[in-house]
Amino acid sequence: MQEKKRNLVVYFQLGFVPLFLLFLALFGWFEKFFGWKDGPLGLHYGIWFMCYFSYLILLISAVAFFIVREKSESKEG
Amino acid sequence: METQFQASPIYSIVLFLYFAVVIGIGIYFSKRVGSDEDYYLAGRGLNAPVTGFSFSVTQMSAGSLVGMIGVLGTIGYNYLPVCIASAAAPWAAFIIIGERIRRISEKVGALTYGEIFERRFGPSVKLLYGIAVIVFIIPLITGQIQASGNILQVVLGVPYVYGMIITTVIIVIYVTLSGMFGVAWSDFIQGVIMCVGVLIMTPAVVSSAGGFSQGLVSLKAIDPRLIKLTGFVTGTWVFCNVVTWSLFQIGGNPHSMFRFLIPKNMRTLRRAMLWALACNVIIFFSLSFVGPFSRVLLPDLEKRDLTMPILATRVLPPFIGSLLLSAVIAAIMSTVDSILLLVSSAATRDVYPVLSKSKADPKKQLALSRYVTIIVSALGFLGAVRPLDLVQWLVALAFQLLASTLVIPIILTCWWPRFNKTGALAGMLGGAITAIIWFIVGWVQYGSLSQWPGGWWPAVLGVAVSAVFAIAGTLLTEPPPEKVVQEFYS
Repeated sequence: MQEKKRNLVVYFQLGFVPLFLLFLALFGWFEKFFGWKDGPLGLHYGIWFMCYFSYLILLISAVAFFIVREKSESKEG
Repeated sequence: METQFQASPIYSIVLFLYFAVVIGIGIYFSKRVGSDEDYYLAGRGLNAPVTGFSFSVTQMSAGSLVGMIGVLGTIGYNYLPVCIASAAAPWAAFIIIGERIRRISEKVGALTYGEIFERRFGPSVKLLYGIAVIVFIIPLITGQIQASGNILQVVLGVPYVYGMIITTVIIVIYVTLSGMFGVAWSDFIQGVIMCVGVLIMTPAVVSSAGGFSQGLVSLKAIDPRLIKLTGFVTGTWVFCNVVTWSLFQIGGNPHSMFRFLIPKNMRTLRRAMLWALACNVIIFFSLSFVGPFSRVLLPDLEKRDLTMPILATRVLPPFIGSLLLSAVIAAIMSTVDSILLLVSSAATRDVYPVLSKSKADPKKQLALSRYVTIIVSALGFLGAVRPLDLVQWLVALAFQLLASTLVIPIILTCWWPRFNKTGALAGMLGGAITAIIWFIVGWVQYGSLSQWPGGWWPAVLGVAVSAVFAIAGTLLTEPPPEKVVQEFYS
């Protein structure tokens, strides 16, 4: 069970990479075919995402992975 | 803003202080190197922050602090995906192979990736790995040494060759004296300098550009494409860049991946990778501001590679500015020292034992490692003596060839029990040959080593073909012996 849980966390993490690429593709596609409305401060929403949220998501996902792994290991002794 | 670099004695003083500290580290740790395990893995006794920072700054080179800011200034936010991809690289590599490769190396008692390949597939794969690393990675050293010559020429006002001699000699001293101890601890200090430097520089640059909002307005006025995600580049270009500089670090940066084998246990490795990620996020997040906004401050700068040195001296107090200039040299040195250790280990532990069919005793092996370190740095230096424009493309070529050769075999070794020797050899050769052919096709069609048909990078095709060959080669031949599978996966 613990091994399954551990693997789930790995798969979630692996999922981050294609998800990130998907976001990139979507933003590129929206920009190309629909044009973008400017976001706050005149910067495109896609840039805001790239600039701030992706770093944040990366950090949160890494810390979550770390906590789950540490907990599962301490339970196993 | 003035676009000429003004040399000042404070820059020289701080730089030489930094050099003295790095040499001091080498001398201090030299007594702790008693075996080649100490030399290559620091006796597996480094703590998490040192290992993490070492991983992070090894991945970053002159290309990150100098080249990336230059490109961000040229194409603005179009280059941002590459920043986030580079920031994510250590964590992506750790998730995909880090824990597994660490566990395997402990189980089979291997100190290098070559030795892991040997235990799994036999000496032929180890030999191929060793040769690929030695042949493909030397241009990376050449490119870095050349960059150090250029920067010291600008900052200290010394001739280009003297700049390269200073850097090379200092690196050789601390690497040969203290091996991974000196490399990792100097990397740690270099990482701290880089983080502090960019953290101070970022608000100074944004503020000099009139604030964040005004800076964006100014960027848009220069060229509206600067604040878009695409415009200067195509989707294919973005995709290839993101995949190459994040996932392909696994094979393209074997000197960073070496760090997975260093920590004393898994918990230390995990903590180390959080430190690595934090360091990466700090630096690349900061560059995401400094790069585009440098275009506002230095719109007419022709050589955009000089952005960092010029900004450091224009927007920061002299002492802080000189620390940041030291950080640029630190980025170069932290990459070269790790490559030297990697090539040395590939030569003495992977290639030499297979070709000589014997194993040197530990003392001889350690002496051999030091000689190889000196020889390889001399080769890198000689390659950089005559600066060629070609060198920067050789660096990209080296990274892509390594990635094409090693990414898939390393990943499958970690995750696929069925993966066998035929698959490993087919994957390595298939990836390398595909990338070489694609480089040649690009050269024939465009006369360039950085343009390819359809915009598809050689590393992307190389890794794809490597995967097909590795899987087909494995499935069409006998599975590996059960004993080997048990040893790796039990």
